[in-house]
Amino acid sequence: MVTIIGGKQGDRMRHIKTCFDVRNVIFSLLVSTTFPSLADTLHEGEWSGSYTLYNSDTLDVLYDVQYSDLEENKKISITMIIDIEPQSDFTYLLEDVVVDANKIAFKIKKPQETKSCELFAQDNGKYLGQCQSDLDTNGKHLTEILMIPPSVTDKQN
Amino acid sequence: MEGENKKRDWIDLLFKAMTPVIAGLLIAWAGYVGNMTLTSVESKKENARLITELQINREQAESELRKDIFDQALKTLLKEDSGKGDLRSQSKRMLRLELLALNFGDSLSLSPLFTEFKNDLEQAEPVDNEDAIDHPERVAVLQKRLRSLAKKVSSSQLSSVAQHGFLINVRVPLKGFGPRVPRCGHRFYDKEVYIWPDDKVKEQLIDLKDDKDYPDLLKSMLEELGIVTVGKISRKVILTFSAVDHCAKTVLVNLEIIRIMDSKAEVIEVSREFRLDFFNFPKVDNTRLFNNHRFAIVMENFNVKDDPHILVAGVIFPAEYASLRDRPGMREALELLQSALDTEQTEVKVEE
Repeated sequence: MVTIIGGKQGDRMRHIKTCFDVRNVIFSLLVSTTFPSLADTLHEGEWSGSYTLYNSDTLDVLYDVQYSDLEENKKISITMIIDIEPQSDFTYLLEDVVVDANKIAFKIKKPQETKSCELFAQDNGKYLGQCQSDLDTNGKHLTEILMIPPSVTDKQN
Repeated sequence: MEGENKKRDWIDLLFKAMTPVIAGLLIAWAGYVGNMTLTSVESKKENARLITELQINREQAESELRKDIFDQALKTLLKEDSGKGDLRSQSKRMLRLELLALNFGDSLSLSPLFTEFKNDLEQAEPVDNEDAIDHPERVAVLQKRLRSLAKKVSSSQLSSVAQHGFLINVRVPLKGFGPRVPRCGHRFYDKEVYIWPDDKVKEQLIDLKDDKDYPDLLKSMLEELGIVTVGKISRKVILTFSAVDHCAKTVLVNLEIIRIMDSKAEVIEVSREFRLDFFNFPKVDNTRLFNNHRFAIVMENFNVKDDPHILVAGVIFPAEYASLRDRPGMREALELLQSALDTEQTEVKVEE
């Protein structure tokens, strides 16, 4: 069923709709500046976080998030550095990185396995998720992974 | 008169009658007191015997428990295939080593067990798919746990022996570390060396290098920092660090200990080179010095982040605080006796 609204009532509805649109734009801008995670791009710089092994040992992690200089088709590159000695052996360039409105997905290619990770934006601006190894066929040995944007880390400090 | 005599007779009679009663009562009282005293003494003796027995039983039970832990832990650790197996079994092996180190670290030379475990972890390969998940990270966590255990044991031993000796703290700066830690295989102090206390004093006096008093200042500060006195014996300690391996967490150390005689003459007591890691425990791994003294050196920290440096502690202490297995030899005993006699003679002269 189609209802045609015309005259003064139609103007009023259009006015209300315009107000809603403006509010939405302002809200989106606010959200994207406060919680960059909700936008499709991530904050460049040094992120912190953790990497919890399936046996519950937790390791600190640093992420170096960078975008390529090309304006069109900006390409993201994330380097994950697990804070354990020797650090050079635990530095991984994340592959197949996909950033959605509230999700980050990537793969960690290690010499003996490949991990597929999916992280979801939380209310506090952090990303939390799990990684499943290609060797883990029954999904019983998941790795928990946390990414904290620099803005959230600064606020905590 | 007659009345008085009668009264006296009564008193005599009363005395005569009461004397055996009083004597009997006194004997009974003495017997009672004697018995009470004897009972009390017996009871005290019995209590003391019971306490001693309980103490002995408790110590025996503790010794047996410790012996059981020792047997179990050592047996499993020394099993031929203990180095093989997945990382979960290595984690259990670590638990046994922790039990052994924390209970018997003061009397047992644990360095070989630590070194063997470290080598096994370096060569560990996943045994199945499950073991291959996060294998390098899990190995690194175990390696970190091994180092933490070694640090815990050595620092508790160090604080114990340092109370009775002289402690030297050395901080070797690792210059050349960038914001990112370099790859394994890169050696620090490969061509140059860090000499303690010389380099430390030179760092402190860097602003006064052109001062005319610099040589004198340098000499006096070197004497202040590098001369160690324990039990009236002064020694000069020189430590030279080189070939720092930040992945294996080792450093090559050249140790020189020079005894300064009363006549200011110098005698080299120790001159040796060794690779220092976290697996040195001062109560057990120490060097014998003159007059039944010991020298031990420990790596306390290896920091590759934020102002990279190595912290090393050296300590000279009397041998009586070393492990019990380390008894003085005949020559050392004679030297000790001679030193005691000399001290006594000096004291007698001072008194005269």
